[in-house]
Amino acid sequence: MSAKVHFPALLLHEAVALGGGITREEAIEAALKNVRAISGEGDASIEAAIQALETLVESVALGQFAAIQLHAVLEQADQVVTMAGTFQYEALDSASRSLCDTADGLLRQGRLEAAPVAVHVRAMRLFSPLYAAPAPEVSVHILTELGKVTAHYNFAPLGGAGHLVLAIFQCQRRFVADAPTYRHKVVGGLGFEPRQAESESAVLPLDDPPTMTPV
Amino acid sequence: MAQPRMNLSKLNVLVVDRNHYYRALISQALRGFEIKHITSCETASAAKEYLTNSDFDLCLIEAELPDMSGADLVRFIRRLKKEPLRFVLIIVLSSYAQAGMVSAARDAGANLVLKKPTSPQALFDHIAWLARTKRPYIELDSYIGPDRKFHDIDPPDGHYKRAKDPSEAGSANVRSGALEESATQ
Repeated sequence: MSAKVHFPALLLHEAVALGGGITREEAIEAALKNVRAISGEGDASIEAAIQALETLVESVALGQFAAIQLHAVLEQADQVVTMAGTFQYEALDSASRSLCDTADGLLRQGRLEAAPVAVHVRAMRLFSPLYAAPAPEVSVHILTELGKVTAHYNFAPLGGAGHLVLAIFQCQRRFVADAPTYRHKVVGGLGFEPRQAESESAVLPLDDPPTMTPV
Repeated sequence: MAQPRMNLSKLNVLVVDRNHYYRALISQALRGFEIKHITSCETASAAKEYLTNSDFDLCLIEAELPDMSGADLVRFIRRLKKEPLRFVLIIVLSSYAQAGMVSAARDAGANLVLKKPTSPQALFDHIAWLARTKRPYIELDSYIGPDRKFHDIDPPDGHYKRAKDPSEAGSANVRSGALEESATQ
């Protein structure tokens, strides 16, 4: 089959030329106001996801997950990453990302061990926004230990397991600097965002979508 | 100088995400952009039903849905018979955005992949970028989606192909003299 090239007329493209409308600042201000109006439900959503994870861990038999359970762990952890990132719960965000790395690594290696997941879920319970936050040094210690777990299984994410600790100390610069290199390596800077060590995509509107700078 | 304005009020947007709270967050942000027609659902099967019965101008699809992957839903949309619906602008959202997931979404024909959590700023900027960047759509057996080569700029240093690729030597498909020079050296 030869390639067909289409030039569809899309309504969104006309949005720029249509009269009226709003500026970027007006749109963002209104959106932020709307989002803040429902922010109270966020903590309950996080708690529900953590409870679902705890239920999954409790249902494990003989220390081994079924693959479908591990997929469910990944789904729930993904939800926590989203919500923790949205409301900037840094320790919970790091712990849930580490759980994603772990669950994904276990699935990729065909290892269905429950122990590394269980320890992450316990940590996430400690970081739950419904409870008093641990002292900063305790948080650092917990995240360091989680880093050791991922390092033991060699599930360290991009940037290394050290991101768990660095997240607490807000040392994000290195990750921001690394991210474009990885992006270009993986997908050629085509406007897609591969996984970054930190959730920077939402706060780097000037860099993404990509500029017209040659790769 | 007056800031450029965008009128998004006529857009019909579909939001597909398994988390009801995140669907609400995204919908609230879209309402702030003055988008009035927002449909949201949890599963790909519900999305398919909406897509069969309605037209949409923008789809925000989570990468991992309960009943199928976001990439599979994107592929389904790109293979619909309805036009221009099958060329609808699609943004895939993911928290745990591994490179493999990003590649899968791109290969399925998504216009953009956006990492969660998505701030209203990032969401607006990406939508505005899609509005400003008209990309043709390529239809092949293996791929239906936006043209991936949309940069309207020359490669660096005037080299249009790899100078050392032997298959390129003497090729007539040379857009500048740079390659001919390198081939004869």
